[in-house]
Amino acid sequence: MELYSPEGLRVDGRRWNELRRFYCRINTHPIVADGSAYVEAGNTKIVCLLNGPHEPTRSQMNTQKGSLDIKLHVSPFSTTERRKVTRNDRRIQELSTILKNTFEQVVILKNYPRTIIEVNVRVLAQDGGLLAACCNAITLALVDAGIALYDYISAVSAGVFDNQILLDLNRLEEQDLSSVTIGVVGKTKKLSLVLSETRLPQDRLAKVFEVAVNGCHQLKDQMDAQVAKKGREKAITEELKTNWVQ
Amino acid sequence: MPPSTKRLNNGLSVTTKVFVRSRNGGATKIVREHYLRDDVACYSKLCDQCEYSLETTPVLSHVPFSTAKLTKHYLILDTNIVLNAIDLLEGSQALFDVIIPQTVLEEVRNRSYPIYTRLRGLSKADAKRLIVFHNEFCKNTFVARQKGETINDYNDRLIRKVGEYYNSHLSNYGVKVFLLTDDKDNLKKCKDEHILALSLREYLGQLPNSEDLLDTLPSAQDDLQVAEFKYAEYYSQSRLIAGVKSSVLFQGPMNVSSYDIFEGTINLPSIFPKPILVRGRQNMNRATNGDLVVVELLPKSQWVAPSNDIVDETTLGNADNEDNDLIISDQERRLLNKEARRAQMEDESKLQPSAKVVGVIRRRWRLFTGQLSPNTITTNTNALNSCLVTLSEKSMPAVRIKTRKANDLLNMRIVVAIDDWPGTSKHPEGHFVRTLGPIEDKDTEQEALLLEHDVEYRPFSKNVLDCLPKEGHEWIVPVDLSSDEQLKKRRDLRDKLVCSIDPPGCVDIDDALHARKLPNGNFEVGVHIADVTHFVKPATALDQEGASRSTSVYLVDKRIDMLPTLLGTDLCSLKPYVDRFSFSVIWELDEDANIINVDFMKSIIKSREAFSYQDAQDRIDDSSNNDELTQGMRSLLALSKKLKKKRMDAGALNLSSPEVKVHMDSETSDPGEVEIKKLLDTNSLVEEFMLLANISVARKIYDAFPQIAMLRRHAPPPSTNFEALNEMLHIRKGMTISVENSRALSDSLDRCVDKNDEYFNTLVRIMATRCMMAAEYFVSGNFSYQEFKHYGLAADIYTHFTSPIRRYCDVLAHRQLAAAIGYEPLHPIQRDKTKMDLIVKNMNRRHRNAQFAGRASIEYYVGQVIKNTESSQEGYIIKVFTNGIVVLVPNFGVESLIKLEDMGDESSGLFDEKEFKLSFNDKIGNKRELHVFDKVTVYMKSVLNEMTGKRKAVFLLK
Amino acid sequence: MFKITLSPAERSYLHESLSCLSPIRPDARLNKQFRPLEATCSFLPGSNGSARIRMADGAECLASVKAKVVSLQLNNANSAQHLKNLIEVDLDINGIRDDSNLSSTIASSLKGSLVKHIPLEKLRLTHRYAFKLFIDIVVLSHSSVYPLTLLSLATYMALKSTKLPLLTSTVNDRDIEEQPMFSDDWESSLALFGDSSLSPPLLFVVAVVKDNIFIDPSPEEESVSENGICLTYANGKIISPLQTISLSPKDNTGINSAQILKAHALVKEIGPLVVKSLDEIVSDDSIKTIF
Repeated sequence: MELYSPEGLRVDGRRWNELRRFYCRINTHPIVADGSAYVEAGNTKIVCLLNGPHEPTRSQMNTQKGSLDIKLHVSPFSTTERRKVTRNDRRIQELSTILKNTFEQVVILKNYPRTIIEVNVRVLAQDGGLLAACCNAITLALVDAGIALYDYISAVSAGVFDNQILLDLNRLEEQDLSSVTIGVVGKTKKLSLVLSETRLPQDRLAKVFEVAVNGCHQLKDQMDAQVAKKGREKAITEELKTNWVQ
Repeated sequence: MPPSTKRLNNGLSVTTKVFVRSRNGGATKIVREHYLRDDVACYSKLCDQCEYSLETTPVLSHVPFSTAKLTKHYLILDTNIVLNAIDLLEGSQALFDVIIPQTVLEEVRNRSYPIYTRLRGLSKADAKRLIVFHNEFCKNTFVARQKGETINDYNDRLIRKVGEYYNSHLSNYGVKVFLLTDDKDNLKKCKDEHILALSLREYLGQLPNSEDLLDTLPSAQDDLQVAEFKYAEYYSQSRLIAGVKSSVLFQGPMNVSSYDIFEGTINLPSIFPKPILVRGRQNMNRATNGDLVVVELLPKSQWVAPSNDIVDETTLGNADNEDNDLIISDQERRLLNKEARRAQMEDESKLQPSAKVVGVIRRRWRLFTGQLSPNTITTNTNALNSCLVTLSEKSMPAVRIKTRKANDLLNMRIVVAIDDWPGTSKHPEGHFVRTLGPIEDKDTEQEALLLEHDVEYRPFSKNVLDCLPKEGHEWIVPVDLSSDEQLKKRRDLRDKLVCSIDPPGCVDIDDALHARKLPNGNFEVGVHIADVTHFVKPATALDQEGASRSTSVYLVDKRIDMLPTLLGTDLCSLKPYVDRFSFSVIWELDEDANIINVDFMKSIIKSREAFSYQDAQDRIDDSSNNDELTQGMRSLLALSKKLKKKRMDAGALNLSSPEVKVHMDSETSDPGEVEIKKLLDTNSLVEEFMLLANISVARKIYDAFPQIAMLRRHAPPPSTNFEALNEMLHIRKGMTISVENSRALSDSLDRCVDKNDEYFNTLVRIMATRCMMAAEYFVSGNFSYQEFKHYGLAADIYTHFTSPIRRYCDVLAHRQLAAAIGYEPLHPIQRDKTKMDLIVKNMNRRHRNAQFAGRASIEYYVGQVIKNTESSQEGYIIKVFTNGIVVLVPNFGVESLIKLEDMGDESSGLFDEKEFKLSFNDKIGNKRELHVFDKVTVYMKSVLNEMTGKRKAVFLLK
Repeated sequence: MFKITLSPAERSYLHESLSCLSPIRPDARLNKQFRPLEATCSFLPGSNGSARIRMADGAECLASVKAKVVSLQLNNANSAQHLKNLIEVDLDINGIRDDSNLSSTIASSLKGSLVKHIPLEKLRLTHRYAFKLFIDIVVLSHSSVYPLTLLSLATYMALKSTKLPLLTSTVNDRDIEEQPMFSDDWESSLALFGDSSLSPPLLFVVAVVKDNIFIDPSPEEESVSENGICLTYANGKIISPLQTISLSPKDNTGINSAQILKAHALVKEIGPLVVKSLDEIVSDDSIKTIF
């Protein structure tokens, strides 16, 4: 298969600057979690459950600000070939740490001293862009839980094929191309997350970032729309309830 | 139930493709997203609905090709058409305004990557107006696979859908779109669904030049086949894979003997110490030279000895083993394999484990040159004739083609393609591609030679030439060196007294040298190499062409360049008296030529003089001449001798090949005489410093890029290679060659001297050379450091750096060195190890082909020379068979077979295998004994072989 | 997992109302009535079969079945033990360590009941090769002490929706080895339980309060129950294993045969209904989004 045909189409039929299908829902687990979200980026599927802020169970108490605990669970069936990953897997730990560091920048933790916010991210299916999808799911869960944020973080990956930049890589592309995942704060160009595990040509870097930032902004709009929609639904339910009571 | 389709914004929707991938016996469910769009353009200039981005424009013509019956039309090609008629598609006679559906492109790619590349090449060039239509991504033409539908049926349906779409899409513009397919089922379905479709024959039949065109088509598959033969069927794919995996069957490239097309060997060094033998038509089972095949060992009762007979197709009867239909289990096969291994190790009998071919994984079929066998032409009319073509490659069987022009093609050198080898046909089936010209014509033979060795000899394309500097020959080194950042990094070495030494008449001067005595008594020696990478930038069309050609090819009277002449003979060439960019290696060497210091730099030089080897030698020898340049050259010579001695002491080999040079009579350009190449001191002067530069550069780039450094290695020969030669030497001369290491080999070769025969040592060296492994390019990450060794040069590490004008390896080494010294970073393509692996694979192949082509060219001319000068010559017997001998004539560097029947009474022949002796009664009844290494006198003449159309030296024993 | 803390008064009231002759459950359900639950299947496109169950109290479980071709050791290919190895069950309960007692007990009891009710001969491809099923169960959240019902519902549906690629190469490779080859058409793959008389087992946990038994006990009900019984249902029958479990920290008062018979009858009554409604969901095999 041609990763990028001379006619300008990618393996899955997208053009270079097109995102995959992005589907997100918030408040998916209202009973068991304080905030929850579900994200599909193409065939990558993530569930995120958030509990807190509540009192820490162990000695994780910080009197100055709240602490953020992010756990990443990769289901054994999420990959094409089943593969069981333990929680101590180096890569999982690394990704968890990256996510934690990223979100500590936007969650206003000083508002929540002596508490902990526990986030469980569950990967159900992987088809490229794992870290980015996790990021987006966590943002939505935080919003759902009503936790104070400076802004959204939206994330996406981008790669380089010969000299062509490709946005939002699927697994096939991710395997063969050098790529970077970035997370952007709100609608700014501030990067709160940059992770590249492959070589990227230095001279293309600026352009890659530009394309990826643009992709993040599109995702932010889609996430915003979902949050607004859920908000409206809630408002209507609340209104119905109040009217009912009256 | 088919997967659902979701509509996204902006004209995009998404569906899923779900399929099962069987790989390595597994069955994995694969799910992929598949986006459908409404903006896939039709690429017709007539259409005003489709939109184009900035980079793309419509291609299919306003005024498409038209015939009386078909009117104006575009064409859609099915996969079978592309695969079978790619030559026609590339030609300029027919098939214009062509639409290739993405489905077809993918199928072609899976079936044949080379044809895919050619097809892609056509879509980039303008001439044929060929476009790729991504039908599977186009909302209007995508259809989901139906339950139970085979992938072939599904693909056919996708392709038919393209036909339907194009005709309705372009219905208002008065152009028809025909689907060309030779798949009968698909044609029928088109008819049922009212989609315009034709077979290729039907279509070409409509064209004015149909006669010629039809002849170049593969024979129609639907011809009634008369089963003239029955080959065993191949095993199923799953059986082959499992068998190879469990070491019950074996996979490897088939090596067909050039003496007998029904004898081949498979080398499986990791399993069997010696090659496995495959003998006989049935056992070869349609495998041809170079094919990747799977074999199964025959029961022990059917093992045979390697033939000491000379067999060619004409003499071979059907001496095949009766087919045994016994089914044996894998368990028994394993035992047999064990026994075979033991038999080979113990070597108690001469019976060799033999095998039969049970499957062909990959054919190595390309275009072949050959000529019609006159005796296979049956009629004299222009009716369709089925005839055999004898190929120039001796290890390939004759190919059956069908043509109407058989009589025109007689005595012509023609190009044919092999299409198939059905089990019912004695010969592979192919089709005529084109005529090169009359047999024995110089240009014809040269082109045939290039084709035969897969050398790209067509002129450089416009894309490639566009990459050259616009100034052309006017280009000069900029006067202001501070004008450019990169330029500032160059060292100005124009004050150094640099000169070049090359063969006379050399125009592509790769290298130049200088030497200077330093105040401390040491020497500063510089090797300056043409800075090709300044002009050949990575990932340009020029670079790709260079990578694909990989090397310049030198024929006797023609040079096929790797890079356009403008670069090779002018801008890069280190011509004297002008400023040139170069890449310099500068050492400080002490009195004994030890390296004190080495430095690499991009530089600017000005060569003072371009010498020929002879001129340089004369100048050095002329003691009256004491100018600085000459002094420098003397220092170089002195140092080079020390370098050479060191190298020889370390065990570098001095091997021989019967290299001859053909003198061309410049007036008539007919070859005049043949001369053995002579070596002067100055030859070795240049060589020593080039070796030194190559080694120094190899070290440097390996330090900088341990994974991807571009290097060259020469593996030590396995001792088994020398077994036969050693046995001959031992029995006939009481000598041995030792192969433990290169030093031992070198020393033992030195000892192989026959006091009565000066040439004997050279003869042994020639034969030893044939036992050596070939040197090869490699990427450092693929081998451990110990394996980097260059056996022949006795160097730990080696690369090619000094001839970037004519070798692509050097271009890569230049780029890596430039990156290593911080001149400019390495392009990402060259950091990618998998891509480098591909490039290296191609380089090795091209390099080998170039050598073969060069040799074949010499052979041809030597043949021409012999034609004019039949004479008696001295020769040596180098091989003895039961029914013939092989004689090498050193003066002409040719060898040939003399059959027993031509020497004397065949029935009196007695072959003593142990003694390498053949005794017989000659024509006048005298008893004669011939041994290997015997010096004989032969009468040499050149005879045109009726079968292959090749001129061959023929010897008559005197 | 939530902690239910009831005051002694609440506990006593709840216990009283559940132990009446005609018991009253806090949510007014009948004793044989399930709380409403959400079920989806085939939502994981990469798996051979998958399902998700969510109970009304938010307890949620995902199950995936993935098949992999494995080669059998020839000499003991037919031994029962060997075939049992073709099923692997892996359990991941949120908040509980993988190697904890609870997960491993549940996983092994699940596996024990599954091997008997999966048509193992359908996993067998040739003499040398077979499919191995990896059943992965993820419990996102649960409220019951023993989330067996939840798990078994999800597993049931995942298995029922499982399809296996169609073998196209020869089946007999006893003497001459062949590598298995499969049809590339997913649509032509075969359902694991396609025409099998077997059916995956369903595990029902019932709470016992006095003489009454309750299906699908809520956490509150569990906390006042004296006992729990876990029954296995398959093919219209109650089968082994049947075991008592403790659902609350209260001292167990022992169990009598009447209670067991009641539980037996109850499960036998509702079993077919549960199977029917789950099978209806399974029969719609399009790929779905779960939330």
